[in-house]
Amino acid sequence: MNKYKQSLVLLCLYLILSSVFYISVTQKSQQVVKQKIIQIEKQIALDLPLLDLSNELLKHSGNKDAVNSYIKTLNSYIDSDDLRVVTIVPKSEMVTPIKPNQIIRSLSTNSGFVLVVFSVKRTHFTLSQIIYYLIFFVLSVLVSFWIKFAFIKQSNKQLINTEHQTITEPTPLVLIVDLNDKTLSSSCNPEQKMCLANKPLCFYLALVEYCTNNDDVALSHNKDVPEELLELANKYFYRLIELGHTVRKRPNFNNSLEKTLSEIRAALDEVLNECPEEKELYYPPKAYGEGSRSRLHSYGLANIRKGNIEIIGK
Amino acid sequence: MLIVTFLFLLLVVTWICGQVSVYNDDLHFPVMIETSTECQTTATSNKDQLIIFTQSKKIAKLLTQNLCSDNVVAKQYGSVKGYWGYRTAESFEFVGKGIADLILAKNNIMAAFKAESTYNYQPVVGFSDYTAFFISSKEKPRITKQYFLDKRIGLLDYPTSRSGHILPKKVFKELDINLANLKITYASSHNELRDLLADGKVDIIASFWKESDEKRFSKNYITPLSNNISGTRWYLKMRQNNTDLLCAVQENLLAMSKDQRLNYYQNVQPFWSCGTSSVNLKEEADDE
Repeated sequence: MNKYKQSLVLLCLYLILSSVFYISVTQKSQQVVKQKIIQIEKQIALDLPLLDLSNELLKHSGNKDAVNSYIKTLNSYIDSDDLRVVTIVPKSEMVTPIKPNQIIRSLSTNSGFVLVVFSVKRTHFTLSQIIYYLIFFVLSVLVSFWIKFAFIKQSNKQLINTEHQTITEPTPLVLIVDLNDKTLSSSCNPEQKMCLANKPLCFYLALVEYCTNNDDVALSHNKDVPEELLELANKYFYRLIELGHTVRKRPNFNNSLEKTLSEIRAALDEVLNECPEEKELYYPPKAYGEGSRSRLHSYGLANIRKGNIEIIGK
Repeated sequence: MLIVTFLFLLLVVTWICGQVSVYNDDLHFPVMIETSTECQTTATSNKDQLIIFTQSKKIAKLLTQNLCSDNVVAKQYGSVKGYWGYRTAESFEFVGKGIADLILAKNNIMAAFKAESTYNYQPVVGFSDYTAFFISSKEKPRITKQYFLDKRIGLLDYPTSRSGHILPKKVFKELDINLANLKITYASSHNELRDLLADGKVDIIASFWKESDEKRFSKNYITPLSNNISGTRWYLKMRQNNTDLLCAVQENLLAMSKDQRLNYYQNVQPFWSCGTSSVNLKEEADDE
């Protein structure tokens, strides 16, 4: 949330608050004026018999000075610039048209209508109201900062969430084996390709497929390679022949197993150089230390799953 | 969610602030048009009240104050209340029903109500007799039918006025002029009549002549209607032969009249001779 946005929020907030305040003040002052007019009307009505107004029937000319001094006294009691009594005249004598800021009220008496003209002035900004407007401005500033911080907090939260999501769901590394040109590569770095000889390639693919299908099998160096694994290796070898990579008869996968695995490991080392943490998944376990070629050691890929390896040209 | 709630509350608070910020006080009016004034004499336990009525608020207030501080009044009354009112009907009530103890009235009204015989209203102080005139600003008015017919005439609107209402209408009647054919403008006071004439709104007015009028009008352009119109008088209700009060009131009225700015009010004549062993009605006042 930049400065521009914040000042926009500030402006909107201030305008909304000010206009609500303004409408409220307008509504209330109209109500007050209405109420005061009623009170003044009541007082004039009470004093009407004593007011020396002219009377057409009785040919009474009235005393304008007395009426004017009465209006003056009345205005001094109203004591407000917003509302004043301008004239009190019998309807027959009303000549001047009223101005736009004047209100005319008619009192109906037994000797005809008496008109009372009020002038209403709207004072838009009194000192207290200006103070209110200032308070609203300060409030708007504070609230806009609050909104800003709340926004930042929320966006941070979202950012953390998305980051979290990217961490929990990384695009899994896939080992790509291309049978067409007998290369190994990884989705981590597709440019880095590693050629592999026919025998280790077929054996590795067969090993992967075999281990995917048989999770908990233990492949020991001491034992022969399982029939199923050999069949799979042969199958891949036939596919290589089909692709025209070799014309030789299929090799014996049981022979020099350790050498085959070494070649595989060397190729994987190159390919997965940049993602060493993923290596374990694809790497046929090495036997370490003395007596390592024990019965317990297995060169099977224990954790490999379907989808870890993509084979092109299968 | 928190922000939305807060903003909503903020709007509500803003609205309330707007409602509160408008100054709203109920208007409370006292008695706006006074028609009386009252004051206490030194005899506070006395419940008797001396009631005064005049047309003028100023005179009523002044006289009430003066009488309150008078020793003789204090001996007889606990308070003095002065009423005033512009309506002729009101003065009729005060005279006709004998409500006022002291009233400023014209003798034609007193005669109309026979107030001197019913309540024994006695004149105390009288203003000098005067003459009623037709006053014009451009020529000396002639008292002929033809002269008045195309003139705009200013008269007083209260029918008890002799110079400004009764006498001119009497003249029109004598000249056999139908009032409906005259362009009459009514005013509520002699001063207003003079303003009408000076502003050119009327051609002729009917009024008395006073010295200050020479500033605005010419003394050559006035025509007398009738001589010796007896002036307004102060009447005291004399149910008992209360001569002390009579003399005290007379003294106060004379003293007060000297303060008046208007020349007409300064020419007051006392009707009674006080200060002697017996209080008597003066000779010259008797012939009215």
